[in-house]
Amino acid sequence: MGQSEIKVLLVEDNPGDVRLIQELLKEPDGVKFEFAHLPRLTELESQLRSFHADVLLLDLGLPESQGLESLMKAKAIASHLPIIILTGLFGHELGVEAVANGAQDYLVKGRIDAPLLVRAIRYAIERRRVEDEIRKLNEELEERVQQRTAQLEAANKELEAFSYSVSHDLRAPLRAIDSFSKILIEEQAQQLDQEGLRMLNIVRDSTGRMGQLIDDLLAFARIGRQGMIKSPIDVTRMVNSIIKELQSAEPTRTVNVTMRSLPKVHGDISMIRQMFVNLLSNAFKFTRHRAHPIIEIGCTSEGEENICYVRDNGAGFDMQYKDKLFGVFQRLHTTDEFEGTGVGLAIVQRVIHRHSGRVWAEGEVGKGATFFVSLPRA
Amino acid sequence: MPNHNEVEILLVEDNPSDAELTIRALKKHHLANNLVHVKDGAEALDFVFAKGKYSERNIQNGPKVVLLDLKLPKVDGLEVLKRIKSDERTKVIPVVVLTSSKEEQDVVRSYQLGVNSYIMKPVDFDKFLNAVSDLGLYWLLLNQPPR
Repeated sequence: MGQSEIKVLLVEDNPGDVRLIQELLKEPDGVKFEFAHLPRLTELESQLRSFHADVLLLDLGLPESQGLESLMKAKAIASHLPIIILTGLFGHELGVEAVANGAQDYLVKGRIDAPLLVRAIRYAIERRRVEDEIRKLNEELEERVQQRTAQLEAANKELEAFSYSVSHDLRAPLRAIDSFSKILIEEQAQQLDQEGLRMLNIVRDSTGRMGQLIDDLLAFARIGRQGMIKSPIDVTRMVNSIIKELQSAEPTRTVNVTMRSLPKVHGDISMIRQMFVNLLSNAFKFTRHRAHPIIEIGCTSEGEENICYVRDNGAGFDMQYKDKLFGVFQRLHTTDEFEGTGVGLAIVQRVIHRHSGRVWAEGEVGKGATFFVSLPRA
Repeated sequence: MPNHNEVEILLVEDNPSDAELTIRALKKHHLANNLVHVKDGAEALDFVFAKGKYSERNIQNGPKVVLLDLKLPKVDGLEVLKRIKSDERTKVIPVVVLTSSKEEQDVVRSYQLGVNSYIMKPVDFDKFLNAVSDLGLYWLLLNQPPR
């Protein structure tokens, strides 16, 4: 659109109004207008083919269609054009309604002068240009979001295929190593001395450990990608059943377990259960060398969240390593002291993050540890 | 080479070590006398449906049990399972999936397709030995198939 010349197309059946608008547009204002007019909408389409209008002035009192119906018809034919509505003397309400339905502006007949008309036209064109720009940007944004989503989905698929082959392909050679070492021990023992047997047993122990690492890593990956089904969870019941399981796994031990009042929380039941299993089995594990192991589970309410904790009087840890605790494969003890793969607390952290919560720990070497998790209230 | 009309176990396994270990475990219990080992899904289907180099076989004399790995060359295990279980002539043949994968989706899919049993191969040899001999004893000696 040239700034110096604006093509105005008027749809108006009243010759007097046509003349008036035409006259107003003749007044000098630094802008040159090219003017055309039609008595009815039926000719709009053919007219636009020869007259490349920049703006459409539309009377809403045409004989063949009335009110907003005219606006809809005009919009359907000239969807690319800014439209200014002309209404009768008491047409303010209709005008406002027209603007809400996609017109750029409205003018009340009998209240129009040259500066107002010129300003309305220029403003309508500008407003329409900005609207188009926003629409275009939105479409581009939408397209970009779709592209990114597709990329993410593809990456997720790849990751799934990856962990699938890890699960399948890494296990097979391990099984071969473990099995053939065992067969060697059983069937070729007479050719091996004590040292040879000892080494073969190390081979078997290591394959067993690697098998455990693969399983734990897969469990960790699964927590990250599995869908969540959230519901209210009775933490008391959940923790009770986990403690029963842990105690029956070590029937010779006596662990003093105290449970303070536990609330209901809102979350994915299988993930939250996995989280408490990991926290509680850690508490059982790291109190193993205590003469009187004590584990305490409790909860406090703060604002919108519940903060649950699991406290033990076990091996504890040095606070300077508190950030390392939750990293994958990070361990603060050797396998000789306490067995483990270093994935349990990483899973705890991932479960909590997927529930938009926080996790942290306090501890002291030889005195015990407390793990805190915050969870949304049910 | 056994008579292909008297096969008791069809072992479908592409990994030679796993195949050797499975056969070894079955042999310990004298369960591997009539065993045929095929190394991909296409050959497994040829055997079951008496096609290709197994065309002299009578399709009615199916194996007593198929031990099926899932990740196989050419035709994968789930497809083999689907074809066996969707054909009137072969769907009564017990199929045991014996695989390294414990992905939930594989377990669910296998059962949807009509698998008779799903066993994850343990990494530990002793557990593997037990698993294979248990399933051999069950399907060959305890299980009573329809006549």
